[in-house]
Order: sequence, then structure tokens, then C-alpha cells
Amino acid sequence: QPTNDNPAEEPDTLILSDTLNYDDIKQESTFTGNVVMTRGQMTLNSDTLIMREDEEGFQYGTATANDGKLVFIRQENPEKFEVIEARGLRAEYNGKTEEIEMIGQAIVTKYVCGKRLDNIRGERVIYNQATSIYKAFGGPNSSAAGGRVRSVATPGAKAEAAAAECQQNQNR
Amino acid sequence: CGFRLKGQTPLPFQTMYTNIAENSAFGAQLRRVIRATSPNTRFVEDPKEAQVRLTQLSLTRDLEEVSISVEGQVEVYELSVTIVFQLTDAEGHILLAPTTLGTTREIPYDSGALQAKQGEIGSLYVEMQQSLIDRMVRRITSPEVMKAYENADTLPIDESQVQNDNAPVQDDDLGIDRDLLRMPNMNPTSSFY
Amino acid sequence: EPVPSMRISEIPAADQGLRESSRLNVHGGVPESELSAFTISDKLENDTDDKIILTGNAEVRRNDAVVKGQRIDYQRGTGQVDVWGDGYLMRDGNVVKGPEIHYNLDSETGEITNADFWLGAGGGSGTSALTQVFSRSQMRMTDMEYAACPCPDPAWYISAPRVDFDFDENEGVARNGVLFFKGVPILASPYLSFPIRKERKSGFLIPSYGGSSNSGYEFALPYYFNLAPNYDLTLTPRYMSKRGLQLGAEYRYLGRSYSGMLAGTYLPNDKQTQEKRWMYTWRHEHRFGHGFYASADINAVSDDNYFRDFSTIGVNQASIDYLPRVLTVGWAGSPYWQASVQHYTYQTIQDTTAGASYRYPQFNKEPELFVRGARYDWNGFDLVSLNYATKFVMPRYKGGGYPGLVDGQRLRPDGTRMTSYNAISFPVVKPGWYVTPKAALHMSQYNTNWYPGQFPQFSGRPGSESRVVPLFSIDSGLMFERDTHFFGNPSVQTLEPRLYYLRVPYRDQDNLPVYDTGIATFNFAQAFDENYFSGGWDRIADANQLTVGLTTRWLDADTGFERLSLSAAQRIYFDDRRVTLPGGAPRTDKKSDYLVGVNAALTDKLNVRFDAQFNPESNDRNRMTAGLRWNPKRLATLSASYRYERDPRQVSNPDYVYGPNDPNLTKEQVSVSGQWPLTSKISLMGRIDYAIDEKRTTQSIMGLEYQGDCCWAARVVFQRYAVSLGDKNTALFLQLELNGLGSLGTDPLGFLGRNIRGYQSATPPIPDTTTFERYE
Repeated sequence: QPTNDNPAEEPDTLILSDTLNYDDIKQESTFTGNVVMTRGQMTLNSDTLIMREDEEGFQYGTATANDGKLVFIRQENPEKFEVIEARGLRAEYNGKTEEIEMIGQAIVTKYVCGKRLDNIRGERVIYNQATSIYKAFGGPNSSAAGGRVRSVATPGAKAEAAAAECQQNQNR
Repeated sequence: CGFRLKGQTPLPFQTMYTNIAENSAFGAQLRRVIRATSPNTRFVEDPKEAQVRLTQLSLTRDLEEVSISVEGQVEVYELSVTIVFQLTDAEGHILLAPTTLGTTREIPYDSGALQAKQGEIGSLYVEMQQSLIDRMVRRITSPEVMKAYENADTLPIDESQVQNDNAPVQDDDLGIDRDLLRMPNMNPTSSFY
Repeated sequence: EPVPSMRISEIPAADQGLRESSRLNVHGGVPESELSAFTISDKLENDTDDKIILTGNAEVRRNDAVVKGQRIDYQRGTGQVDVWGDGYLMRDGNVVKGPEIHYNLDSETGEITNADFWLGAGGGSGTSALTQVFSRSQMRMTDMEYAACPCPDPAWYISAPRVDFDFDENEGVARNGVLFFKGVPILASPYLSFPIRKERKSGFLIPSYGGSSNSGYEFALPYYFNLAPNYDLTLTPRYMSKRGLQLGAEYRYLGRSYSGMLAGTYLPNDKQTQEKRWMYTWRHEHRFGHGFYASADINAVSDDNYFRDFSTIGVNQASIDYLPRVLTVGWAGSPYWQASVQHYTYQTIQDTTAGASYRYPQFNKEPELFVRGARYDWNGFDLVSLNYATKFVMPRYKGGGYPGLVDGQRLRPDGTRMTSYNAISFPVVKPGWYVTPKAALHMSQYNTNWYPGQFPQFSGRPGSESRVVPLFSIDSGLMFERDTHFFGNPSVQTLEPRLYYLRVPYRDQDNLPVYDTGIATFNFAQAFDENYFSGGWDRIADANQLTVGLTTRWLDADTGFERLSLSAAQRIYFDDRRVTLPGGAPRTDKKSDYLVGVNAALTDKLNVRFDAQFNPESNDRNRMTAGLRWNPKRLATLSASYRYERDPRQVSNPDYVYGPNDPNLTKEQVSVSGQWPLTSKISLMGRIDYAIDEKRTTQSIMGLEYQGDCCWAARVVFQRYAVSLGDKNTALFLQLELNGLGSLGTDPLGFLGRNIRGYQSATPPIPDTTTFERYE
């Protein structure tokens, strides 16, 4: 599959899919069927993915899943032994702001060293990869009851303890 | 006129336990009347072996001024003996919920003969307590209780009995049967200051 | 059988009220650092240093606390929670609401402005300008209003510029607090402490205001010291306008093997008599293990008029005339044997009004040894052995003022008595009949000092005398039954004839002293008893008599509950009764009075009692009592009793002629008492004892009880009763009971319960609440 050349320090994006067609007018490429996009430590699985690029070369993507299934994004952070998993009906990726937005039945879960710690559920969840700041909004199509935003925040001590555990396994 | 000698009412259970002391006038007579009413029922020492348990929850003897004379002396006392008892089966099903039976007597009082009157009050209390036995046995052997025993598992459980059964046994070093404990004579008016 | 000494035994009934199940507890032991927080909101975001910002009906829920508000900033690392807009914080059942809440979940400190609060576990509620939480147990409120009772608009509240709460100590301390009742300040004090939970807590109990003709206006304000879980002290300073300031005290203590109470009053200088007036009582029970026990019941009073002058508000003790002082040591380790040694003396209270006769003291027992053996149903036999050895001492006459008595003189012969009563019976009990043959042997030995110098009429009496009396009796009865109807519902009617034959040979007992024996009242119990003398059996009546009794009962067929019982009995004498008390005449009647008795529990709410004793020949009544008790619903009860007793001299000799100053001692009395709710708030209570033979009331009580909303109740009670031959005491007292202000729920007067049968306090007890009830 063609890869787009990005600014030098950008990790290169690899997209696999069953089919691809490129629309020159809109400057969009649409991947459909078992789409798997990996970009550095982040991987995305969905049924369709529409990618486009702005003039400055930032990429924008919109991924959707067929009915009943959810788009799945997994972001790893080896130094902190953290893994963020996000699911939702539709995912918007903004290369410029480095934000991933899950829309509809959005669930974001954070694991440290394999232990499930925090999670946020709502209708829309925006996660910024660079600053690791996130915002969540309720709405009728929220994955949490009552159209609200619900989250579980485990105390910092628990996260540190989990990280320390992985640290030990790694040193051994 | 239709009267016939009272016959036996055999009880559907063979073993029975009661916390009413065996070696007391009250306990001995109660056991005799129950055994006479239902010869196939015998009393056992260990509650856990008993199909039915008769538990005396409380036995109180009361003395109340009924009226005072023109000189301000008590003229008549009303004595009352009240017993609260319940019947449960081995699993704790409540066959007969806590039932109160009481009897009262009035006796004229003459403070001049204080000690004689105390003796009289004492023997009256004993007689009143014995008079409760017939009514207790009538309740225990009533058709209502028999029906309750037949379908006991539909009845509520007495939680404290279940807990006590599982609780470790503490030895009660006293072993006093309260019915026999001789307390100081009670003065005519129970509380004052 | 002569009577084992009487006793009060009270085993508390199982508590049928709502109880906190023991399995319900807080999931404890999770360290703060482990507690995850769950959030719910319309919008959620976090910032760089890991703070979560929730907006829109936000909630942060943790195992031990719940925080709500329009906007909540939750700093996860430090546990700091800042809330703006409809702030709500709930922790350990305590709820605080306020526009702004700043609270740290981990350090449990924080501030809440303009808060409304509700304290957990039965605590009160109120408002405060600023609430500062210092720790899990310490909290301070400024400009606070606090009401302890959980009603919508509480009738009373405490307001104070500053109040410090200490939940561990279960204490709220208000500085310069003012107690408002219905908006009117009724109590102000620089230091006012009150309990938060309903547990025992040091503090003021309910004050009572009142007055009586003997002690003038009275104001008592008891203070309760909760010294420890197993002992406490109540001090009751009581000001009486006619007497002065009296201090009352009650110290209660409880140990693993002992318990007791020490109470007393002290009035340094009685304005009227210029004397010290005091009174004390000490009760103690001790169990040493292996069946050994000891007990004490010591009472004393400064002078004869104490109870007449100082009857505690409403409590009628003027009827006390002998104060017991008893020390007992005993052993009851075996089910068959028990023994005790008892030292029993009395303080005799004389009626000092003019014309009252001297009241002879009781015989002191210094000491009395008692050994009881009993073996029931030993191969069918019942064996009872009662053995007494008593040294009777009649105190000498002290003081003057009574004609014909010289200071220091002997009042009665005294001496020692040893008795042994041993009985064997063989009860045969069958469903339809029973027979109980019984044989007993009563042996006694008297060593008496007759003091012939003082009592010439006793000169020549033997110093020691013994008596052996056998007693034989056969008690038998039949039980017939038939099915019938009683007011429409199926019931069983019984017919129970009973025959009791008693044979006791005559023994000449005229040379025996009489210490503690009198003639027992003739009633259904005595009709089937071995001796119609009661007490210590200084006289054992000769008997060759047959008592015939008949009882018929109606019982519910299904429950066996006794609805109505009618009984009659009469005794037929085959010989005259020659044993009498000194000065009594032998009795020659062939048939005794006949007894009639009715006992009816017509409904669960109404029962009626009637029994009477009629002369066999003249059919006039010698004694009659009737009683009715009716309580249709809670807080409504009515009981009435009528009593007639013919003059004993007329009973034994129907055509007795009364001289001019020899009044007919026939007594006839009616007593009515009741409590009746006039409206849902006001209930009336009262009692009237009217002596028909004297044509005047001997005691009257009228009371009114106003039940405010669930927070308070007020009582006004008027009482008038005879305290001695010439003197009546009229007392009026009122009481304001503020529910929840540390009131231990007891009516300190306790009087209403004792004097109005079936009385129930109008203030419903506040149910115990637990921290689990307030669940958000």
C-alpha cells in the first residue's frame, strides 16, 4: 500500500485494508474492510477509514465500524508501561492537534502493566496524545447510563504500584 | 349435657426441650402435665436434640398499690405474675410467637403485720405461677400450634436461636436456677427515694 | 408449705423492636490509598496535573463519602474536592449541603459555607454560616442553629455563635448557646453541652417545675454524668421554697459479677425544722461464682416525717412505714440445695400527727439461717425441706411522747426459733384427673425470753418449748370438656371439680410466741392451702376439713386462649378449729364462707375480674372485689376497681354491737384510673381513690399531656393524697420534655406509669437510626 511521506520526525503510518480507492478531487483515500492502521505506538482497527491531508501535510482520519461493531484504538506508552484503549462507533483522528475523538458509545480505558485502572464512558471522548489530556461529554448515545459521563479514577498510588511491578519484571 | 373426661392430645413431636428448670415446682409440674397430655413426648437435656423447644423469654412478678387508706397507708396491693414464652422447632421456625400469659390477684394489706403479709404474698406468687401451667399447656397443645408444626418450613425463623446454636458454648459458672435463688425479702414499695 | 421468702425475678423479655442486624457493617479496612472514586457528570475533563473537572450535576462517589454539585474539581493525588453550586457532602451518615464545599477526602478536613446539615445515627440537624471540618471526628460551626429531633420544623433548637462537635466523644459544646422553644429563649448558658447520638451522655436531664403543700415551690434540674459504660452518676439539685436546697444523688454501677445502686438526698438545713434532713438507700448484688452470692438492701432516713415532707414530686412514698436493712450471704450452687444467712432489721417510721397510735416495730432477724432442699419428680415423688433458724430481736422503745411507754422499756418478748418443714408428695397427673397425696412434718423449737418483769402476764411460761405437727392432705380433681360456642366462635368448655382434704392434729400452741405470723386472707389460693396462718407458722391450725371447688372455663377451640372462667369453693369443717392467735376465739362454724370468682378476657382489649366471699348462713358478703381494665387503643386505657371488706369482728360474730367510740371498720373503696386521648395532641389522665366508708377521696390525680410535634411533650399533673392521719399533700408539677436533647427517654417522674395502670408515655420513642439509613 502507498505510504505518504510525512515530516521527518513523524512516525510513518502503515494502513492495511481489503480495498483502497483514492479520490483525487477530494484528495481522500478510503480504505474499507478489516482496516488496520498503525502509527508509531498507536494502532486502529475499523471497517472503513477515510484519510486526507491538509496543505501543511497533517493527516486527518475518520474511522467507522459496521453496525454492532466498534472502532478500536490502542495506544501504548512503554516508558510508563501504560496502554490506552479506546472504543466507539466513530473515531476522528486529527494529526495537527494530535487528538483522537471517539464519538458514540465512547469508552476509554487505561491499563498500567496490564492492570485495568481508569476508564471513562460517555457519548464523546477526546484524548490528546501529546498532553494526555482528555475531555468527555455526555449525550443521548452515551455508553454510560442516563446519557451521562461516568468515570472510574483509581488513586495514583495504585497506578505507581502497578508501574513499579512492571519495572521489576523488566529489570529481572 | 355432653361433658366427657378430657383425653390425651398426642403431640406430633417426640422430643422437647425447655429452659424452664426441671428441679422446680413450676418446671416439674409443667413437665408432668405435658407428659400426661402427650405420653409419647419426652424432655431432653440438649436443646439441639429436641424437635421442639419451649423457651421462657421472661417471668416477672409485680406488686402495685391499688388504693391507700385515709391515713395514707397502702390498703390493697395487686399482685401480677406474667410469663412470656415461645415455641420453636429445631431449625428455629417460630411455631408459637412470643406469647404473654398473666394472672393478677388483689390482697388487702396491713403494714402492721408486714412480715406475715410478705409470707402471704410469697405463697400467692407461687400459686399464681402454678395456675399459669394449665393455660400454657392449652396454648402449646392447641390445634393452631399443631398446624404450625406440620408446615413449619413456611414460618419465619428466630434468628437469635440459630445464632446461639452455632455460637461456641460458654460455661455459665453459676448454674443457679433463678427460680430457687433466695433473694432478700422485698419491701412493700419497690422503689423510692 | 411455709413460704420460701418471696422474690422478684425479672428476666428481660426479648426485644421485639427493630434492631440493627449484626451482619450489616461498613466495608472497613480499605486504606485510603486504595479507594477508587467513581464520577458521574454531564462533562468531564482533566488538566495537566491530573485534576478531574466535572460539570453538570456532577457526583464523586467513594466507598466512604459522596460529593455532589454543579461543578466539582477532584484532585486525585491529594483527594481535594472543591464543589460549587448545590454542594452536597455525605460521610458516615452526616450530610452537609451548601453553595460552596471545599473538602479533602483523604485528610478529611475542609470548609463549607452557609451549610445545612443533618447528623447521622439519630443526631439532629440545623444550619451554620461556616462549617469547618478538622478531622473525621472534630467539626466546628459558627453562627449555628441546631435541633436534635428529626422533625420537619423542630419546635426547639439551640443557637450559638460557635459550636464544637466531637463525634468520638458524642458531644456538641455550644459557647454562649441559647435554647429556643417555639421561638422563645428558655435557657441560655455560656457553656451548653449536648449529645449528638442517643447514647448515654453526660448532660442535663429534663428539668421539672412544680410545687406541693409540704415543700412549697420546687425546681429540680438533674445532671447526668456518664462516667463509664458500667457506672454513672445523676445529681439532682432541688430547690424547695419551704425547705431550701436539697441535693439528690443516684450512683449506679455494674461489674462482671456484681451490680448495684447507691442513692440518697441531703438537705443541710430545713427552713421549717432547722434540722438536717437526709435519706439514703443502697442496693447491691454480688456473685462470687460456684453458686456463692451476697446482696444488700440498706435504707435509712433522718426522721419519721421525711417521706411526708419530701415525697419526690408525684411519687407517693408516704405509705412507707418500715425501712428494711437486709444483708444476705448465700449459696445456690446445686439444683437441689441452697442456703443463706440473712441479717434483717427495720427502721420504723412513726405517724407523728396528733392522735396517731404508736406503731410497734417489726421483729428484727439477727440473723436468720435458711436451708432449702428440693427434689422434684424423683421416681414420681416431690420432696421439699425448708429449715429456718432465726434469732428474733424486738428493739426496745426509744424516745418519749407516747402514753404508757417508758424510754428503754421492752416492747415484746423475743428469742430464737428453729423450724424444719419436710414434705413428701406423690402427684399423679393424668389428662382427665389428678391426685396428689401429701404428708409433711413440721418440727420447731422455741427458746423465748418472756421478760416476766415487763410482761407479768407471761410469767410462768416455759423458756423453751418444742412443737411437732404432722400435716396430711389429698388434693384431687377431675377435668371434663365439651365443645360449645362462646359468643359465636367455637370454643371448649371445661368443668373442673376439685376436692382437697386436709388433716392436721391439734397441738396446744398457746405458750408459743408470735413473731411473724398472721391470718391469711381467705381466697382461692388459701382455700387449698395447708395452714390458714401465713408467714413463719408460729401457729399451725388444726384441721379436719374438706374444701370443695368447682371451676368452669371457656377456651378458644383453636388457640386454647382462656376467654372466661367461673369458679366457686367452700370448705366443710368436720371439727372446730382450736388453734388461735393470742386473744382469738376458737372457730366453731361448720361451713366456711363460700367463694365465688369470675375472670373474663372478653376481648383482647377488655378484661373483667370479680371475686367475692359470702357468709354461708346470712349470704351477706364479707369481702368482694371487682376490677375492669379496658384499653381500646394505644394511649387509651381505663381501669376501675371496687373493694368491700366487712369489719373482721362482724365477720366472726355477725351480730357484733358497736359502741359509741368503737367505729365499724368495714372498708369500701372505689378506684378509677385512666388515660384518654381527647385529641391527637392532648390526652387526659387521672386517678381517683374514693373511700365510700369515709365518704372522701384518699388520693386524686389529674393530668394533662400535650404532645407537640415529634419533638416535644408537656405534662401538667395535679396530685392530692393522704400522707398521714391528719395531713394531706397536694402537689402540682409540670414537665417539658424535649425529645432528642439528651433525654434518655425515661419519664424521670416514673410516677405516672406506677400510678395509672397501663399508662403509656405519649411521646413515641425516637427509633434508633443507624448510619446506614441515609444512603445516597
